[in-house]
Formats: sequence, structure tokens, C-alpha cells
Amino acid sequence: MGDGSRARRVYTVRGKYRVVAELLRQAEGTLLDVGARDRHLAARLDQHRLEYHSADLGEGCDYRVNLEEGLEFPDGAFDYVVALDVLEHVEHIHRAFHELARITRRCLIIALPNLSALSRRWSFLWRGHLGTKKYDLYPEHQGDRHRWLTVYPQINAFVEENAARTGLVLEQVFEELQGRRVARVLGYVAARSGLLPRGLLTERCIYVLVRR
Amino acid sequence: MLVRESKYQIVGRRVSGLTGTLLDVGARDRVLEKYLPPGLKYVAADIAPGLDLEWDLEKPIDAPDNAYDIVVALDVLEHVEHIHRAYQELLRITRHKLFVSLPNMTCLSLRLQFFATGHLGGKYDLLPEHQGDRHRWLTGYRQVCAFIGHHARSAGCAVTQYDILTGYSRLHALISRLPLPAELRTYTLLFEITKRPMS
Repeated sequence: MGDGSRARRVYTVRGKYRVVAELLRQAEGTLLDVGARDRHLAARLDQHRLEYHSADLGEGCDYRVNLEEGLEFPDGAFDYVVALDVLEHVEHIHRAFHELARITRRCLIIALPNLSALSRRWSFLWRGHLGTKKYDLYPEHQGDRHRWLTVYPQINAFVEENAARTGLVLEQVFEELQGRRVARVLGYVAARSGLLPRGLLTERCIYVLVRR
Repeated sequence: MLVRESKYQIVGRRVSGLTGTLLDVGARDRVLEKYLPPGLKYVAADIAPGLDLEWDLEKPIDAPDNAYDIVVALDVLEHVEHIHRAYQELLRITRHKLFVSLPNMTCLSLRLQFFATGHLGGKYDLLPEHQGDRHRWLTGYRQVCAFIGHHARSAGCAVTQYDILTGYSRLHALISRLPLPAELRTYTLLFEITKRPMS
């Protein structure tokens, strides 16, 4: 399930911002960074070519948006739309995906964490904890949190199916491998050679969806 | 305390001899009713229509304080995004006793299952379409105990905890018999929260 698509899969040991910045090196037009937080991506982009706009739930960005409620932009409002580690926070994740697709003119880039990576499974086995506080139940509601357990085969199927429904084509998937230095290199070799089950060493998937 | 009875049996046993009205929140097919003594008036509430009351726990409950003598919410709160408010609302409308159960998602059988398969169960699935009802919280043993205890203490209630060992899988049946910490053996956590003693 979920990995039979024709999209090119690229294994990378680079972080999501670097992957996206490199993807957009030649891009021109407008870009909306949804869930931009401190505009981390902006610093890595050539803003003479690409007009950067940030959007987030809180203040301090160009646009204040709430993905739970839809986006107040017209169809195809931005050439590029980027949402890195954002959708897993949204209860209405399907609707949010469709909204992001709707305002995309050329290319939508979505990153989702893989909570069934080996390190997460190991942590859950021994500690009963996924190694991130984003799923914790505290005595008080922590507000922002992960509302979906995004695991490898399911995120692939979710993106593929919903891309098809919104007229987007999944062109490439970058699989960000976990670990540091040696582990990452070993993971890269294992992933490329197919020695391990798919997604086991993938920390995050970055989906590149284009409108043809 | 460690028990092997089902959550329905425990609630039925603990309310035997009591009178008044019992509200079952998230009652589904009114399964609890069979376990209750005849002296109690049973009222069933659910988000789905067809029962006595149609309630959405995401919203404030339309009932006065202390409206029901006994309130029961078995495996319900983990479905609710506003779990804190829902729990406080249940405490508010309870006159004497509130029973709350939550699944222990950090029992050893589920840890092993997730390690082996990367899948924690259908209630956590992200499917191509939204499945509607689902588990919105990963309810682990320690966090659940702290969460229930914190709000119960704030409301001046006493809490009795039942660690229900009985689960569904064979693997869990085996693990529940091993000399391991309760956190690993418990399948469901049931809390009996007493607001004030029944006269």
C-alpha cells in the first residue's frame, strides 16, 4: 500500500529546508510558506527570483491563516505553496490538503514526519513514548500538537490519493533519512539497496506535487 | 488495583445498591445497562442519534451542575479533541460518582505490535478520507493517571483506580500474566471518581 506510485523516490541525508531550497533554486514567481513560524525557509531562498510570503496561525507572518477553517486565497493564488510538518497538526487534514492544492498554481511541497521510523518504534517499545512531546496528554491542553499519527505507508497513500483528487501529480518524494553522520550514510546504503523494509529509516517524507 | 473483570462488570458491581439516575455517555448500544442493578434509572447519551440524549462532548454539556447521580464515560474521552474540557464537564454534571475509562496505549502488547508493524491500531489510522470517529489522543498509562488525578483533585474528589488486565489479543493475555509493572500489563484504565459520599 502506498508505495506503488510512479513518483521518483530520492533518499537524502539533508534536512527539509535544504531539500526544499535546492528544489526551488530555479523557481520564479510567488511562494506561500504555510506554517512558516520564524520564516526559516526564507533565508535559504533567492528572493529576487521568488517572492516569499509567510503564513501561520499566530502573529508575525505576512498572512494569518487557520488551516482548520480553510484559506482565504483565490484558486491558484501562488505559484508555489510549501507546508513543512504542518498537516499533521490539523484535525481536518484532508480538507487542509485540498485547500493547499486549490491555491497552488504550479507546485505544492508537503513534508510529513514518519512516526513509524525505527527510532520511534524503539523509543515507544522501551519508553512508551514516541520521542516527541507532540502526542502527550498533559493535565492542561498544550494547544498545538500532532493530531495524527503519521506513519509511512499511510502518509504515502494519503498524499497520492488526495493529489489525484485535486488534479496534482506526485512527481518526486524525498525521503529524509534519520540518524547522524555514519548512521545516515548506512541508512542511505540500506534504503537504496532495499535491504530494509521501506520507510524504516525515513524520518520524514517530502512530497513534490505539480499541476500539469 | 489489578483486576480481570470487564469495565462494565466493575461499574455494575460498584453501583449495586445505589439509587438515582445513571448517565452513560458514549453509550453506543446501551451495553452497560445489562450490568446495572434495577434500582437505577439508566439514561444513554451518544454523539450518534437514536439514544435518550444526543451529545457532542466537544461542546459544553447542556445540563446543570450535579445533574446526574452517577455518570459513566467508558472509552470515550480519547475520541475528544477537547478532552480536558469534556472531562471537567463530566465532573461538573456528576452529583456523586463519575466512572471514566481510557485505553492504555502503552501496554507491552501494543508496544510490541507497534515495534513489529509500525501500526498502533485502526483508531489512529490516517486514511485517504477522514474516518470521522477516531482516537484523538495517545493515552499512555502514566499521562492518563496524572491527567485524571489532577482534575479530580482540583474538584476535591477521591479517585480509585482499576487496572484492567483483560485485553483482546492472545499476546496481551500472555503478557498480562507475567510479573511485570502494571503499566505494561494493563489494557484499560478505569477510574472511580467520588465527588461526595452517597447518603
